[in-house]
Amino acid sequence: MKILQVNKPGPFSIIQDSGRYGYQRYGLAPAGAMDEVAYRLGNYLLGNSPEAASLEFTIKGPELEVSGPTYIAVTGGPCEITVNDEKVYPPYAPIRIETGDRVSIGAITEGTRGYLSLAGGIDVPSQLSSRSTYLRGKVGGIEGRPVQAGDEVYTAGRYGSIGRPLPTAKWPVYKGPFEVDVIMGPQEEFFTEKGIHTFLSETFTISKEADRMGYRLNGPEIEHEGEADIISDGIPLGAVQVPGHRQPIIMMKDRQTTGGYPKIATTASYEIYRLGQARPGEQVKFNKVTLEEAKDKREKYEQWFKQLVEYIRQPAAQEIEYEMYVNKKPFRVKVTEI
Amino acid sequence: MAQELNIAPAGDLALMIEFENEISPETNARVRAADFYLREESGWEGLLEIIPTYRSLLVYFDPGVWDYNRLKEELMALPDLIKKTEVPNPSTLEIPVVYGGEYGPDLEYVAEHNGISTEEVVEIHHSSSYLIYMLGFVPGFPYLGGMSEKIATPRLKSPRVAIPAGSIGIAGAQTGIYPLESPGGWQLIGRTPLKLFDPEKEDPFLPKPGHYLKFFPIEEKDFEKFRA
Repeated sequence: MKILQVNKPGPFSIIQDSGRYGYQRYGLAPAGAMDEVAYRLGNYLLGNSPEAASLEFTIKGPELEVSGPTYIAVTGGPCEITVNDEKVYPPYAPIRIETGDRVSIGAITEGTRGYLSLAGGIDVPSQLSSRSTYLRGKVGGIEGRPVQAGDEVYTAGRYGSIGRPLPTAKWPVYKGPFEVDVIMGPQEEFFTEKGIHTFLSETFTISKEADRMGYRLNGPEIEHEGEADIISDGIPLGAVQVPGHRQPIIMMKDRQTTGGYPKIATTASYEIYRLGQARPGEQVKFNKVTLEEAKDKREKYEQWFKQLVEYIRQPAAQEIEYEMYVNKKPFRVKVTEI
Repeated sequence: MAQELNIAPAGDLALMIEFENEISPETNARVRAADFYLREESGWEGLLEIIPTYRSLLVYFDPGVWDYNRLKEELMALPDLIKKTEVPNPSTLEIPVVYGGEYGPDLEYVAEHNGISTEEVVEIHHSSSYLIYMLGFVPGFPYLGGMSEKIATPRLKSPRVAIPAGSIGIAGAQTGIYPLESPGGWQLIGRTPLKLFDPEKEDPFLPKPGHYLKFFPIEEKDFEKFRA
């Protein structure tokens, strides 16, 4: 079933799900939503499988014509959703759509990526068990490329119960500066004590060279012990590699699977979604944690996410009104059980 | 024996296993044996993804099954475990190549640079068997070892903007195949009609880490025939 037509794609919009795993040994990056929390919440809001494909947009959302009756939801960096140039909705709430409705998603005010989820999920062909677009490999999504004007998107059409909107206080926060937990290694010994001290005590700025592959940071030079090259090996998600130019690069979802630069540390798994929202110009400070501390914090993060999902899934009364805020503007959202 | 293994955390959900710090067929064979043991023989659950490279393996694990210290402890026995593992012999992937002409615009330069004829370059290039040390860089890109020094040639001074998929090139003492159209500075000596990475195929990646690859020359008129 055709669900929507793209009139304007926005600066960079791309179909993503949770990613494509098992093929890094063949050089294929996993790709997947940069902010997995927002992406999954969008699906829960619509009663989708949590791994249904959504549209990941960057900086500003697309303009679309949607075939209804159906529901959509926008999650991630806060932005306004306008339907037929008149009604304005907040993110993190299911929005009822009638056939021919024009939906326009505005600029993100905090963070950098948003997710447009559709009831039933986006139905592009699954390649290697995922619908995620991986640009460099020309795989997934629509012909392995970003979404463009004129694209038609289909849905499988099946979904469960529509969830409760999340009030503003429960939205994930993406405000910089980003203090990011890291686990040292796997090549910590390639750096001097001074280099490690610089890495852990100084502040780094995300450069303009920041995309789905990785973020190049600018800051004081991180000193190597000797050579700045290793025999190429696997690059884990969130690896912080420091090439000969002595500036750190954080490796994200579309990273090369292998590389020859030493990795001073690796970002803790529970920090990736937040980092996936960081903008060029924002500041990053690295905070060393032990594996035990990382485990505690990962469990807390999983608990937090579970609570959000439980909140969304609690059945709404027949009709409830919510007050929410976007850019300090109040919105009243009415939810009707169907 | 166990001391020669180095294991380090790679975040909270992965670890790195390193054998000797060298590029050699012997060390890579141990990587392949460890990979085979962990995937096929160990019966261990919760190893989510293993990325074998020149001399190391990056292992992603399920934190519900393993914690780092327990997995590390088990893995320290790897040098002994792989000695007892019967690893199937590596196979050899045959790659058809049209050498020279528009398919390999730098063949003459490679010949000139090494003071030999183009026929000799082709002969030397396709008579060796190349070890696929690892895959990386882009999907399906094999890091090959074993090229003769007799055809080694420096990269182009200014890289080409777009190199067709399937192009076979030489960069220094290395040879390789571009699986996808991409920019690059390798000296191009030929092209294969085969797709090294085809997401539509049941087996989407032709080269496999730890196995071998051999080129064989075909004529230009047969290029399309070999595509299928």
